[in-house]
Amino acid sequence: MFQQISDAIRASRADFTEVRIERTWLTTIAFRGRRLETATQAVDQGAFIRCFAQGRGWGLVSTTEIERIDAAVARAYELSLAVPTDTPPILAPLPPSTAEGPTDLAGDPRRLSLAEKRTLVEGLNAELLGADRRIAETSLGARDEVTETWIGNSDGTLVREIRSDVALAAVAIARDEGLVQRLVRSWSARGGWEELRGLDTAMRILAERAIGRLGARRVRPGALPVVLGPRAAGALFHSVLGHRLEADAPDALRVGDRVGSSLLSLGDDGRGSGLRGAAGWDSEGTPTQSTTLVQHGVVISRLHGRESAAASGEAPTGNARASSFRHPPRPRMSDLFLASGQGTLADLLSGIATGVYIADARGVGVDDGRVRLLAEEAQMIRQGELAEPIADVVLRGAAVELLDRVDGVASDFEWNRSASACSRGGHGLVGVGEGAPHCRIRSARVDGEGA
Amino acid sequence: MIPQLLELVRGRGQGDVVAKFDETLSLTFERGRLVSSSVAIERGTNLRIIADGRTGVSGTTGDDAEAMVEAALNAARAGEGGLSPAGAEPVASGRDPGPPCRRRLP
Repeated sequence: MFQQISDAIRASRADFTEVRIERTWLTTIAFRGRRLETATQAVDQGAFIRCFAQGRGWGLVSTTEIERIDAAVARAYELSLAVPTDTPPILAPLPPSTAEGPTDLAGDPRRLSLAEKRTLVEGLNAELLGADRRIAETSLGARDEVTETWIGNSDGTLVREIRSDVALAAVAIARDEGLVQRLVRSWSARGGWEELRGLDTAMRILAERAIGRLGARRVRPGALPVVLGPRAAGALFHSVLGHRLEADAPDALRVGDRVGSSLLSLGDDGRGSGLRGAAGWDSEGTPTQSTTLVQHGVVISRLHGRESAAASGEAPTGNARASSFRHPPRPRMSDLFLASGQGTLADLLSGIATGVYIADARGVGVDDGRVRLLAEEAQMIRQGELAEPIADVVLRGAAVELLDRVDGVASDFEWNRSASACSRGGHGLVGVGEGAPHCRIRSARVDGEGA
Repeated sequence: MIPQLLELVRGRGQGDVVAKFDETLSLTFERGRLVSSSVAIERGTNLRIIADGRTGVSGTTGDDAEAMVEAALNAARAGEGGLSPAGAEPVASGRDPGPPCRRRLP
């Protein structure tokens, strides 16, 4: 494949040419209740080519015909010629990377048969269904992917990498005497299906938690202190700050901007072992890295690909990510984290007479600077202790105010290990990780209208 | 690829094949000027097999017919009895016109 890419780039008449070829092996298995809904395998392969001629804009081609890369490169060149521009693309200079990664993949999901994977998912589903008579319904979906990627460009970069990811999502629906509660959890494993074998206990805990929430009441609307668990905090910072740190965002933050409390320090780790967004190189062939983005509440760097880096005079960070060969690379988060602070959850809870604890978020929306976080799991805080579960909790507020009111960040950092994916505009889903410790917002508007 | 797939299926079950090829040219104009041009070429094949009363499907954007038949037979063996390959979604294709940001589960 390297030879094919090199030959096509050498033959290109463009000023800059980039070829990315991907081959993905996919398995999807889904149960609803006891019924198997899906058990399929597929192979998805294709190439993304982009180039620009002197004084012209980008010409882009995505194609499933990887045996005709040379023709696709010629086509991309023709498309570029059709785009006259006063501002041709400029890419930040970067030393070329050349590497052919290992062909062997630890825990390669392709070594397990579809039947073995089915048995494993069925076993977890049975654990969840059988945990208690009040578990009325379940839904369990698993998806594994092995992706082999080759990236080459006319600057001399030529890299190859193979990665795997297994994702599992479980939904437990508890029902008793007319009361219903639904709870969702997901897990991801970069090291293959073996890492999911120990989830039997997690299934029972999910069932117990769904049952424990039966009869949960809604919180009385008001402004209260809010403590966020690591998963909820990770989701909040991804949505509220992460996207504004993607350098080409319309509302992108700038270096030097103050974003909130001095307790806030954030980074993005694109190469952390086992993390969902981690890779050796981004989709432009730039080595990934761990980047500190916000220090003590002030932006010190942003997430870049080569083009956004050149446009702003900053350095590429290895965050030009594409969800597949059907998309161009754009600056995207990989694994965003809120750095550890000091103290424990108990320290954050102490002194709160009445407040809300949000362990996990089902979703976070940001619209025109207004945040709406819908809780997946929440409970009251009473006299400094975690108390009864509450239902349908929504946290709302102006992003600026919420971030400014963070008055406690604990030292109990953890990565969420969830199977999160992020879709930005029409650019497809990329796997992302999030990590955070517990943190506290001095006061935020909460109500119970999330259902 | 279609005749090759059907030949490989012969004697192992019943099969049908759906194949597509499309090419999309996208041009974006701003204030009357062309600012971007792109082409997307998409070829994909889905196979459905009924073997021993069970249905299995597989899909690919590649051209390995034998692997595809094997994957569909595996899906049939791993699946339930009956003739419905419910929810099968073998070929990933098309673009995701999602909202500005959406965190979601698989």
